[in-house]
Amino acid sequence: MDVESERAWVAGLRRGEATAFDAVYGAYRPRLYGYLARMTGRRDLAEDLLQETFLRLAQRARDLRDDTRLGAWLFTVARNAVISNARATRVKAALASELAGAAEPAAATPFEALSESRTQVAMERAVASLPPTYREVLLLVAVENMTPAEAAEVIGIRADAARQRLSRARAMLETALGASAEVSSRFA
Amino acid sequence: MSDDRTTPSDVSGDALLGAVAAGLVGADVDAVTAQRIRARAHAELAAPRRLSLAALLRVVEPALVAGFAASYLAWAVQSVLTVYR
Repeated sequence: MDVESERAWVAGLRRGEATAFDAVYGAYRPRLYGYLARMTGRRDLAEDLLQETFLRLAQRARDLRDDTRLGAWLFTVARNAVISNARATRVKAALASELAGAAEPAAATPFEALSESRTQVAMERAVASLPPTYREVLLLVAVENMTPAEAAEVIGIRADAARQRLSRARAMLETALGASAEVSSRFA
Repeated sequence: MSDDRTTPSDVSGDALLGAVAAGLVGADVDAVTAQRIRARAHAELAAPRRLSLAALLRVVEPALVAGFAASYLAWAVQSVLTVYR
């Protein structure tokens, strides 16, 4: 996303322009949805959190600063929504398991059904297998093309900590992909 | 610097990270959901502004700081005048 477009969008949002919102929505909706679905493991929940994120943008549009970097802003809001939801879900799950004594079923990856090749299935599974802390930094850097410093800003950690997490995420991913010769051969 | 670090310049040429970006499914919400979220957001955007605590503080805080500074300055001047009068 080029800086000039972002500045124009932010200026439009500050004026409450629907066209500016639509431009941001079009540019960031698929990216945020992919991030949210892979962080929550559920597409229905990702839709709810996506809505929460964009409603927050609409509510705060006039309060944005001129130099707001929308990508970092939106992914920070989305990440906070994931965390809030996870906290609420943990409380509910603890209560439900106490009441029913039932274990949670193992969830398939959110986009496995949409995968067109075994390579995609293997990659989706490998990414989904990473602990959330490592998965998020990997998604922000590899998929969203953020630098580790930008990812650190979204996550709320220091840049060197983000680099270390990324390094570990990378190692875990290599291990997870180890079983899939097809995928491994693509980056060997 | 430890070898366990990945610097920003490493990231752009990292084959594994590139494989992740290329290997994951590109997905989006369906058109109906996308339109529903957009419509709700437009309604929020057009809604009259609600007074948030942050917005209120942005106005009140400088006034409070200026007030405290002015009263401190007045006190200091008065103290000096009292001593040297």
